[in-house]
Amino acid sequence: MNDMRLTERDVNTKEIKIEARQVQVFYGTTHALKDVDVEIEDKTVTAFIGPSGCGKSTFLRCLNRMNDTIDVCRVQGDILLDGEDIYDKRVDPVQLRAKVGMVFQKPNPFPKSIYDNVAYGPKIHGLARTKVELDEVVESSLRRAALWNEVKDRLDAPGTGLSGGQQQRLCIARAVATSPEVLLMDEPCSALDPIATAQVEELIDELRQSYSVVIVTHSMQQAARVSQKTAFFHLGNLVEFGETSKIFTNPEDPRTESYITGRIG
Amino acid sequence: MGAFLTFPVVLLVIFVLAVAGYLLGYRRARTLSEAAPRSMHSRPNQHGWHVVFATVAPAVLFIIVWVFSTGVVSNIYANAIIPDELQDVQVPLQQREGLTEREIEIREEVLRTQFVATVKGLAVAIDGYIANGNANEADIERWRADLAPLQDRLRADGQVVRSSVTQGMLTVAQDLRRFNARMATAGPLVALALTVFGFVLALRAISLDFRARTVVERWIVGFLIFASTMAILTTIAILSAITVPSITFFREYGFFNFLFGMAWAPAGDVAGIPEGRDGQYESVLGFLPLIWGTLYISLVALLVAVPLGLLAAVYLSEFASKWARAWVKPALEILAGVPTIVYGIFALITIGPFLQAVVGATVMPNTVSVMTAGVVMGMMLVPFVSSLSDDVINAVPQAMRDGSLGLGATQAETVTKVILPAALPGIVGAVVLAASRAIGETMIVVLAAGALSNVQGLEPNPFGAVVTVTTRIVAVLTGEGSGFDSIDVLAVFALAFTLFFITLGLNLLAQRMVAKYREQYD
Repeated sequence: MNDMRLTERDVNTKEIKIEARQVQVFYGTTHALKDVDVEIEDKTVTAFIGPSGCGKSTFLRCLNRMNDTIDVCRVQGDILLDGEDIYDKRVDPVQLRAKVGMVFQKPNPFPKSIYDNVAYGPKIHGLARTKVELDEVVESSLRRAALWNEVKDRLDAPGTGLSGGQQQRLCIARAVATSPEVLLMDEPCSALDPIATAQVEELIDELRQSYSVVIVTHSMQQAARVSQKTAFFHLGNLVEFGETSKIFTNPEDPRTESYITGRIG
Repeated sequence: MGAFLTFPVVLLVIFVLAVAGYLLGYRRARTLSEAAPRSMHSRPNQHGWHVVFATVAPAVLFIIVWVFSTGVVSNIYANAIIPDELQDVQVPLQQREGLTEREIEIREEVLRTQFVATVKGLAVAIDGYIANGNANEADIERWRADLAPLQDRLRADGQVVRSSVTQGMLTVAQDLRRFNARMATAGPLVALALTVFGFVLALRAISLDFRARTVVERWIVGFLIFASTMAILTTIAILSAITVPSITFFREYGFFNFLFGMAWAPAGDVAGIPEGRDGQYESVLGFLPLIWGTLYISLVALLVAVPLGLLAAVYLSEFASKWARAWVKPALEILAGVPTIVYGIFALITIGPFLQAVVGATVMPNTVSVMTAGVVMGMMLVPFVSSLSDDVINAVPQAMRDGSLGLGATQAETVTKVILPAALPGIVGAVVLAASRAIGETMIVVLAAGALSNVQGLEPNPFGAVVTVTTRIVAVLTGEGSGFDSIDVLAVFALAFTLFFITLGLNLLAQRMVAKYREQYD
């Protein structure tokens, strides 16, 4: 909420969750991402910022292999999750995505009830053995997404009937319910109004207690508010990566400075 | 004069006048606009088009209305000139016994309808006889039906005469012919007058201030509306054509006797049907055995088509590579273009004998059966179901797939737990549409379901032959069985009428389901 808080953040070195080395992404013949090296820490919010088309969403989608669903997309280089290459042939993308959850730009609740939306992940992964356990998972996930109080009386109502902000929090609850280790968020607030945005941002800050969160955002204020680390992408290159406070107050690269002061982008 | 005043000639005149009208109108308007540049409301070509429309449209509209209404008008005329005491339209005394006043009335009405149909046929036959150069009007005036068997003379010339011609028929037919001749001259005359009138009026209307463009645009909108209502008008025309005979049939046979009758045995094909009052065999015309056959076959067809079609759609939209999709989808759609008669032949000579070899001749005495027709019809419907389902599955937003895959669901889980439930209303709509096609399907069942002309009760054996609604309509109207103006034929209209409403109901249902589905993602 307050840009002045930046400097007060604790920046202790934490365990590295995801490590990307020399990642290249091609769409057909287009070289969309070039030589990206990033280390994403556990229990930290990492923000990817940059102008449209700079490759930040593409890189995010590499982290849980969602790009596999696009035929023409090719990924080179290494991405290590807990030291294991996720693009290794032995890794099943389905298992990977259970560990690395994702929240999308547009709220996309399934045309099912609120309860079934949240219970979807736990059911397919067998995380709850009994109905009672499942109820508990659903409730705790909805609570973590700060949605429980608003929907506890109408869990059977369709998820598509909620407001935009509620839908997005439902999608977050849905992702949280599978208990992922990393949560990827692709511009989660771009379709929301300021109040809903504030709620989601608060939620992100809470999620940091247990997960590593990676968020792509167009709003530099949002990056400054919620993240501890920031990566600035420009034209398919990772220009600068470091402490959020440093990127926003004392960037090393002139392009970063131009972007955050509004001269390019 | 009279011989030249026909609609084709008038249409030719209209065309010539239209071309001339455009050129004249264009030239007049241009002369005007050159005299006073930039002060004319409409451009010369718009004035030209205005003349064209004024010349063509009213006359052509009149011709269309006239052609459709002459039949009705001459029918009304024929009904009006039948003398009430004419023997042909009276119920014979010996048949009146035991009938109530109301029953006699209904029977006389039917007789009248049949008499009018016969007379109209006779009038056409006489026209044809004259056209072939066998006689002239004066000869016909001297004809007497009670002296020579006219029907033989007419038939010898190749004319179609349904029953023996009585003097009463001949008199009425002659009267009708004179009336028709007058109508045939009056119509083109009026059309010609309208054309010339519009032509002259439009040419004279050309001036600096005349808003030809506005008028032309209004005409064009009118034609667009006409084009879009044509299909609806056709449906109404079909409905009105089958409604009147159906109602006549319902009144004579009894609506509920028809709808809930357990046997279908027209008098033309007698077999163990009780004798009627007048010593003739009476037709038993129950709807249930026929609709049973129809629904039974449709059920089998859907049991084949829905799983296959749906799985094909799932494969095509979710699993197929681009390459496979580019080949399989068009191939499936080509299947949809195979004429149904070809499917029928396939059923008859391949599937039928195959099924019989598999289940044995005791269970399946004939190669024609519910299964034979149903299985092949199901194959015919596969592309129909798959193409429609493919569309609705593709309409499920990519965000749903991403959302599910992003949670670590497999592709199979995504399809069964998210995509199919989301697409379900649309898929149900596709299935209902397929059902309505199956119910109305004709050629396959004619060849492969069985052609019994009378049935008792409902056939439970899926390997037994059945009779369907459409088979019976084909059989009766293509001349098998009894005469054309009998109650058996009227019953066929009632069959068509009922079938129309069943499929109409199903289509409405499907449309509502599809509409409901669309609301979700717009």
